[in-house]
Amino acid sequence: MSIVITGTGVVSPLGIGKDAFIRAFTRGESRLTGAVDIGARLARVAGFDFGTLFPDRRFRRAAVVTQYALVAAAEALKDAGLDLSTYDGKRVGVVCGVTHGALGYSCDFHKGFSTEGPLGASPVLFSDSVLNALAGALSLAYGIKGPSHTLIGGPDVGVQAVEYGAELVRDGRVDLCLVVAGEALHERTVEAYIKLGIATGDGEAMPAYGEGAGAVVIERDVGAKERGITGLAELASVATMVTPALEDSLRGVVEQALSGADLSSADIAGVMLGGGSDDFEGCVVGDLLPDATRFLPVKELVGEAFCAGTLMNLVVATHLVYEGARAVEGIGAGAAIEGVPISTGVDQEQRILFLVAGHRKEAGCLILKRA
Amino acid sequence: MAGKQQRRVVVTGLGIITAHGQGYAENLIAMREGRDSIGPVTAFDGSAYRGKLGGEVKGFLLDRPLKKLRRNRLDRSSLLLLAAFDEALVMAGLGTLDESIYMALGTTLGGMLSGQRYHSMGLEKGFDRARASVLSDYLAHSQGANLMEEYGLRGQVRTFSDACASGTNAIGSAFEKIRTGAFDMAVAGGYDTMSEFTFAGFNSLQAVTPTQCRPFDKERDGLVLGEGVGLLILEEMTHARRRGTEILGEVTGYGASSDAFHSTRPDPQARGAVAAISEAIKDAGISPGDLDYVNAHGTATPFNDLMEARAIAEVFGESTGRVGVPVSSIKSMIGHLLGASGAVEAVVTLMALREGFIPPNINCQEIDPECLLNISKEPNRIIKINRAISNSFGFGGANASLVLERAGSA
Repeated sequence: MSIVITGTGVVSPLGIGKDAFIRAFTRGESRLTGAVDIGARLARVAGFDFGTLFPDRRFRRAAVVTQYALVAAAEALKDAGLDLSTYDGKRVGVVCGVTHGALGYSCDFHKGFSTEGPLGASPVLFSDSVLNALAGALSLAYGIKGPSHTLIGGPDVGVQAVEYGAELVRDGRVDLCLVVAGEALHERTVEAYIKLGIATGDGEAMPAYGEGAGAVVIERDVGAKERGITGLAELASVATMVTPALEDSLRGVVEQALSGADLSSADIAGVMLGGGSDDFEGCVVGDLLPDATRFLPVKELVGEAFCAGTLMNLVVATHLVYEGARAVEGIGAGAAIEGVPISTGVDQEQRILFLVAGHRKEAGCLILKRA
Repeated sequence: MAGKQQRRVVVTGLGIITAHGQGYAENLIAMREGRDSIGPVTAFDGSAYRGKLGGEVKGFLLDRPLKKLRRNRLDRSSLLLLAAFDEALVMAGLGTLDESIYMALGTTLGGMLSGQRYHSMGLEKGFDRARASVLSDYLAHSQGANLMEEYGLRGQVRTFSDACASGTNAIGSAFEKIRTGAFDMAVAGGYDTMSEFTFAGFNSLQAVTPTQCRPFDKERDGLVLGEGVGLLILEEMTHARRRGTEILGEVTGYGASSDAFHSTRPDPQARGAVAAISEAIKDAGISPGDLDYVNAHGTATPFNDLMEARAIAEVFGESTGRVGVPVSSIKSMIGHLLGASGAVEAVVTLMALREGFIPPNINCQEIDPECLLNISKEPNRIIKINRAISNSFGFGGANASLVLERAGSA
């Protein structure tokens, strides 16, 4: 059974909507600001007017991360040619990847009862601060009545969410699944990572953080065809793993993903890295896939957006597979990684492998190919 | 690895910590006799809140040296999890787990106590002076990672945060992983701690009782929060038999759904709950009449219990009612453990199947006439039961049910 991606959506510092996002990405336009007083470079989503982008007023008070997710999901569903109001909601699932969730709401809620006592505890802030608020809002907004799950993790949880969504489709629990990941910048997050000494850029003097959301619609190939839709890319395989050593996890998922797709390393045309751990990811890919074209990680342009960054990478990878060499040439012009040659020749099969490390020795890998 | 057809998923290890105490034996006695382990909350000053009660784990101790982790960097949630895993391993007759495993854990807030501590420091002294080291175990996937690290485990790990359905969904996903042949062994469950954050939150929603936790009672007026952990070691049946370990029970069905109704309130028509319960029963290949016991979500809030009663009545039809399938909520004894609730309730349901009793729904004086259920209130109700269902319904309209069976009943 083939599982395909039929729609993608994105809210990012590179732009709102995948056209703006891909355009800025192919030009290699960084949105990271220079040095700021907190000691990090930041890339924020600009011009996000939720009321205009998502007129449903039920979510006007939702946390920003939920609003990013709702807008990205709306684009992905539209891209997939889906109007869920006409679809059997029980046959649709939603899986969200979350790293920090609505941290701003959590902090405000905590501050409220800490400083003012019980009367300072806002029920609105509390209910929207729970980690599955995003999945709940998506379910509510689109009448999704199948399984609704929220998976928590670092950058790799975006791959976990895709993997779980694909399992729900493959096992026949749903016909299609909306997979979404979101992240909203918050000063407490940035401050904590800096204090903990967790740099997010290989060799960078100053870490970089971003935000946004990415969304994809996945379904069975035959189901998409019945709807008259052609998949943007086939999800050839997905693998996630944790071992006592990160390098083993990364190697393990690459080998497992290749095996799952019945491919060898020579079959992979291009590689994208999540940048969760640049050293290890780069070494493993250099070792296992030395001839593959390496594309610029989204993180280089928008900073570490954790699980949302992974979905943004997936949006790019899907685009590369769908558009083929034309897009590759564009990216080759503006997005070379220092020391890594970028070739513009990607074979006709357009198989792209994405690899990402998590916070705690986890790794995720997925392979896309032409649908 | 065994073939993918007819793979049965059995339970070989259990770990449990609740307000009743630490471990299977202590919980068994208290669950059977219907002990009320709820009292005034002590972890923080709860005196100003509407509800002041909690089901806290008292005197908990993980009194062994840690092999790889630094104890002072761990949140209470990690310590609870490690202790429960120790018990589950021993019960499963395992020294450690050498093979690749699937681990699925459910939690609503992970290391929130650590997050709260950091934020309080910042509010009091300024964030430039707040110690970030206390945050090292804050994120909700950190506790599972700690478990993997401490035991040197390898495999696949997922942390579910599906509100009160988290633990049930974690177990359901592990069941699927083994049944479909992806893994032969899994560790699944849920955990959550008592924090002022959630206490203040549920109080702000007016969901907490100022009196007593009375699921399905006519006068019920809210839930009581609790804390704890429930863990299961799941195995493919032939894998367990080869090891010669005791089979404690079996997972045979799982269903999940969403309400798509409201962010915090359940659908009063119970459509999502009916879908999850029905799917789990269908998945197990049985009919509602084959079930001997329903471990209800039963939070004791007016909305939840009425909704669940409607769902059970609809699914069970004529087999429910006053003389129908026994129903009880153990939240009456230990409180609502949020992300851990579904996991702890699965452990207790397996305990009931194995030991032959029905956990009592205590504090229920007069059953709500709108809840057309056979609420099992009597303590020490010794009865052989073969099959049971455990329900969980959470914020965001997340619903999940598990069908569990006594070992050797099929």
